[in-house]
Amino acid sequence: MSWDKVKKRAPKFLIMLAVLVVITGCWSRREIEDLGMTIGAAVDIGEETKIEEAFEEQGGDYEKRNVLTLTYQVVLPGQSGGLAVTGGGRKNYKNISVTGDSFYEVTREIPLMRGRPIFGQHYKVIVISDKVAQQVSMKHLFDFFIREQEFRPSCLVLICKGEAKQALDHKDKSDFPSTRLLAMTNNQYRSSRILPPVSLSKLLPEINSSSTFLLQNVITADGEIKFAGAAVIYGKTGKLIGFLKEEELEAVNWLSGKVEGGVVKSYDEDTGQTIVYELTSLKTKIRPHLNKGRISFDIEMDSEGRLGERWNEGDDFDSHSMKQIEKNTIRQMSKRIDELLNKAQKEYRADVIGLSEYVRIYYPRTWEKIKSNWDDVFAEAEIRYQIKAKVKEFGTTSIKVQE
Amino acid sequence: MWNIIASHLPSWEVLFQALIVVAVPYLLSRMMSKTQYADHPPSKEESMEVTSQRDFTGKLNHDLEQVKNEFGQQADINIRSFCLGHSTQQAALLFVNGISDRELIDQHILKSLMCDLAYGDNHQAENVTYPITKQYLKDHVLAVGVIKEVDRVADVKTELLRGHAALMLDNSTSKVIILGTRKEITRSAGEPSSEILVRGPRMGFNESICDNTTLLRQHGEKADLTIVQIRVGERVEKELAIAYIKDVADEDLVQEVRNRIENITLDDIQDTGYIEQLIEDNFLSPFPQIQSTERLDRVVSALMEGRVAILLDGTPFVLTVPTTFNMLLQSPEDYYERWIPGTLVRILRYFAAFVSTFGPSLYISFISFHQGLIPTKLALSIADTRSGVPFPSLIEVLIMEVALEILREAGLRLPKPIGQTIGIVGGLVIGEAAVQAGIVSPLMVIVVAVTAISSFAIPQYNAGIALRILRFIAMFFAAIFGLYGVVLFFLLLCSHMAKLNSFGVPYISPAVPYRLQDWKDFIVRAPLKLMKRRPKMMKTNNPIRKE
Repeated sequence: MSWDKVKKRAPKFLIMLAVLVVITGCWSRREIEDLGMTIGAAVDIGEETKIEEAFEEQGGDYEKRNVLTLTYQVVLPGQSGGLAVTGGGRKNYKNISVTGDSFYEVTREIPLMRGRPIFGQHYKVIVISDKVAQQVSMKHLFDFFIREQEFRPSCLVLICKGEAKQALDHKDKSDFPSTRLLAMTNNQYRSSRILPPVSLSKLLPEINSSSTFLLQNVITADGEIKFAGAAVIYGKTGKLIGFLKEEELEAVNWLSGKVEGGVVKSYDEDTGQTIVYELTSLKTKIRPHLNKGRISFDIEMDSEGRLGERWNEGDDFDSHSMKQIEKNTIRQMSKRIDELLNKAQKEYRADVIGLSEYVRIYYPRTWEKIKSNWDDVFAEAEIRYQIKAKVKEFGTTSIKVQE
Repeated sequence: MWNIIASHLPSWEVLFQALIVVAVPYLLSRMMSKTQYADHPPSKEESMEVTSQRDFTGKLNHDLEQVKNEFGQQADINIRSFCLGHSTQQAALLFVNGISDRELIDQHILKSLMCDLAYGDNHQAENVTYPITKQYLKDHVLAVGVIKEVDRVADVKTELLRGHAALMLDNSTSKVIILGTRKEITRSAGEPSSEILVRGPRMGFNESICDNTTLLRQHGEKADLTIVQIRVGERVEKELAIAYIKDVADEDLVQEVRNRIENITLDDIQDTGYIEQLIEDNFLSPFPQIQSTERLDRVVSALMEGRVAILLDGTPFVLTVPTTFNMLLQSPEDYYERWIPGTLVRILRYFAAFVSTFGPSLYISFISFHQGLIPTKLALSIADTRSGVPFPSLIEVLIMEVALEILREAGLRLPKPIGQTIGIVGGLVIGEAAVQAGIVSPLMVIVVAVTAISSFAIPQYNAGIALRILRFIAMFFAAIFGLYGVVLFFLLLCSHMAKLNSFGVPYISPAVPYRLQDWKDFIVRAPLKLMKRRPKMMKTNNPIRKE
């Protein structure tokens, strides 16, 4: 670059630079410690908290109907000043409840109460009370959470039987309730009674296509929580129509092949003793058939596992004995699947397994015709299934029964 | 009416801002335009005085007087008058104290002129005819390697000041014999402390150009290594050598180097750093466009790639041109070790360069703008540790970075044992205390420390400095626009580097312009068995290294 050019360009360049710096300043800069780091939210039927009522008495009221109560779980920064004393200690969090008829408005009421407004980029879970889900369509319920750009799309969606607020307040303070809920969904390799996590971004296509889907259900008791089955969200209305029990949820997972591990407990035919078969892998093949306008499914489940526990007498090295165990397991699984299919097809008349996807792929033209009332078609469809179980190993024991 | 007009006028605050925005760049540009070069440097003929045209007369007393006048009051000129042999023919030996080799003068020159001529070898002593001619002395008496004759007083002066001795004879021709008695104070060719390797030759240049060219000849190619000597410096003349391999280096390149060096009209050139700054392509760029090194092997390998080396008397630093960006992140060790570690270490260095440039700016953008991009647990613990820090992240980073730069600068100047103490006091005590006092957050200290270590992982010191400067600019970009600003800065940097040239070679080649063949020696160091050709970007005459 020659000196002349530099001279010619320098003023322009410097003016640009100055404009850039002086005009913009530090655009939308917010320091991390000034944010109300929010890691969870719960939606309940509108019921004002005592504080809110007290505020309103003193004139802190605005025009609203008390339809919903939104509870945010906000992390409180440590008061330690410099060095962190976290890790193992109590986790400081605060649940802030606001009541109103618009999520957005109530969220913006929080800055009126706190120095650190809600910052939603670290959302972990949204827990919806079953009562709300029964009354309000998912489409309206999640409109705010999906529309608001600050929310994290990977945030997990759960249903809570009872008051959702309770699911975000645990007795055990060693971990944040929201992160505990999230961590529990990672336990699928240990239990097949957990629904594969449904995040906001996965929820959106389900809502938009008006299909029936399941959401993990949480129950609370005395500051403790448990994952218990799943809630069925009916496609057409987008509302909650019922629950599946733990075992039924397990059957759904078997049918859809979303199993990473889990146990199948059965009782020996002759002795009635407990036998536990631990699934190590389960592969499912689903093939829809279209026959004269009627839809049917063939589902093949091919599982491998290990003998986890046996209370009956028998020789681990005896293939006949193993066959017996496999038979017991298959019978047990069939029983559960039958129960589930009965409930789904007869009681709820809703496709909780997600078979619609296979119809859409195999018979796209037919799907276009039937998709508007797919759940009814599903209720009438014949579902045939076949289960294979294979005991591959029997653990570290090698005690041979003495003849 | 007036109110409506007044309401549309901008407020004083806005006007003041506008004034600043216009005035600051304008004043800066005015200041810059004043520091321009003179259009025509005064030509040599005009500046040199027409002096010392007087020839020597051959009369010793007269000539000595002339030389004394030329030297004026300077005391360190030593004039030794004596008679040749046992005759009465007057002679004088002139030399400057200190820079001439006294032992050589005493033992060999004076002894042979005085004693040997009279009492030495019988044959010689008898055969001498008086008055002794210069030719006879040169042919038979003076056992000195370098000898020449000059006939101007000014030349005598330069030669004397260079350390040579001048011999004057009474009743002789008008010329003065100059004897090569120059004494050089040099170091041995030890390993340079600025560029240390684990494996490789422990050989570096020293301050004598003689030694340096010798080293090049000894360790480099012998037959085709061309060393062109040029004198630079208007007032203090110094020897400069341009070295290249004749049938490898591009002739245009050599010519360009010569031209640029010959255009230098500075009065005194202390170090190759002066030359570097005077011949580089873009003096506004933060990047060093010429590599300077003390390592012999670096220079030899650069020569083999078709580059040109510039050596200057009085400095161990040798310049090699053209220089590309990847050279600054390469170490000779990459080639000495096997190719897999060589490649991995090189990738590591690119990573370190990235960290040292963008580390703190990424910290600022994550902390102040994009908190959603940090893993939740980390975000919470950062928020926790930062809750007591009173400054925004930019100020926090600036405090620590500036402290670190001061520490580095201070440690550099101190003697080695104290330097380490400074490192401990500064790094550990201040860092720890700053965290305890709540001025900075612990994560910040980690970021600064990692950045500092990364910047020292760059083999070339001046490249490290360049990246360090850019780090500060990047920090401001990050403070204004967050990650978006960092990306903008990166693009700005890329466009600048893509435009930069070093002696006709694009600075970031072989990346741009894209030459796949040269990528064998870029981020990856290919096995030597595959590196068969010299870099294409050098446009060498003889591209094949290995069949």
